[in-house]
Amino acid sequence: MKKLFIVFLSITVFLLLVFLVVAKPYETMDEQRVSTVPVNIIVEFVNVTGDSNCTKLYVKESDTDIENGSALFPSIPDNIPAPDDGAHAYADNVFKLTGYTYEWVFRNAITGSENRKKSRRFDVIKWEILSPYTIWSERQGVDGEPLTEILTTPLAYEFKFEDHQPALFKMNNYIDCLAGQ
Amino acid sequence: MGTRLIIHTDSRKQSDVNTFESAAISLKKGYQAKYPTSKDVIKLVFVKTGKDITRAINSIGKGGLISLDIISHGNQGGIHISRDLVTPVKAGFIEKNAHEIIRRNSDRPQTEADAEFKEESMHGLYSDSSSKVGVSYYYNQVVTDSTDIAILSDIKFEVFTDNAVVEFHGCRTAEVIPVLNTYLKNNFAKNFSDNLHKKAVVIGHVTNSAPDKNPNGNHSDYRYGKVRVYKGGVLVRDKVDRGKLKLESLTTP
Repeated sequence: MKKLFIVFLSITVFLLLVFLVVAKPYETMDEQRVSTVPVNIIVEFVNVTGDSNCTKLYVKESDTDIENGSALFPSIPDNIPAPDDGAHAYADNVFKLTGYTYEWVFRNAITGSENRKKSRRFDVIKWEILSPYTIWSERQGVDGEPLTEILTTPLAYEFKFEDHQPALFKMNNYIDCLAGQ
Repeated sequence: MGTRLIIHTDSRKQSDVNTFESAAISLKKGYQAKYPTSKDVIKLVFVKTGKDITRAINSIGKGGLISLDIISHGNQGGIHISRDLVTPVKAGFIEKNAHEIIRRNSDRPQTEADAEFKEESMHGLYSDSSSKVGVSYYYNQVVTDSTDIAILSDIKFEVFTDNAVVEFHGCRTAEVIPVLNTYLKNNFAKNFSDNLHKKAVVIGHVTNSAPDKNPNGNHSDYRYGKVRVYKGGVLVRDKVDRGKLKLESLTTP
């Protein structure tokens, strides 16, 4: 009986150690809004189709410290359409996004240390597409293929409410599919 | 007379659905241009689930499938099709922790709150049950309630000709991840190839592909970038440029 108890205890301790080492429950992370006033970011639509969670917006120019070429993860409030899907979601289209930037805060409960790292989350309160731009047309080609059109008519959306609290912006499960390529 | 099957899949994003469809039609035209007098049937099929894929393949007669092209989302585990859930589902303890651990060092780490609920479900074609589960942990997607998911053992591989050519135009189906490929689970392209004749060719992408960056200027063509090529489960070309790939048995355009 005693032997059995020791075996059971050893397995429990081993599993607990594995959990501590792999899951690191003493480390927490939080994404915090950095900008207090809205900032502008110019992004380009890159048609990377690895997964439906691939972000397709890559920074071209920015008022922030986000480097050009970085993937951006836009979070969108319910009442405006996403810039990265729909008829206007086409390769090389350029968008001007206005919104708020974020950073990651990593905390270690054992050492008490705190690290900060740039986040790619961007809460979008306004976006416009720069002209000319390409859209997926509603017309189809002779073989049924989706056609495209080049337009110059202004296309812009704005979140009309004054309250811009983070909880109003839906964050998708984005991944940067071009990372490391 | 045989059949060339071109499958393009559904996506949560309409722009991806359009891109896949454009690529499929462009490929069909490529076959027609390469074999103008051929009596082979070119079948273009839009699918929403893994079971749809296996049905389309299995509907071909024994030894009748000359080539198979699948244009879709993809990953090491298979042809990935996901859908938004109407009501998010709470993630279990193992799923939640697995998701957080796998994504910890990614460019978009997942917080406890991110991992708390699953907001999408899986419906694609994967190597096997363990691949299915691995993909679901990575994306935090529901896998258990989806009856339309398929795995390789659902395919009747006898429909392929001995020298069939299979190409996965989606991303990363031939990705090699250190340790994982050697000791746990190999990639989808290799697993698919294991089931075919030793002369049959299977091509899969190593990385993610963005068709708009194709050097040939065709925004609907995934045939560029690094690929791996398997024959009878054996790697015959490693990380070669798809645009320059030359194989005697390559019957695709």
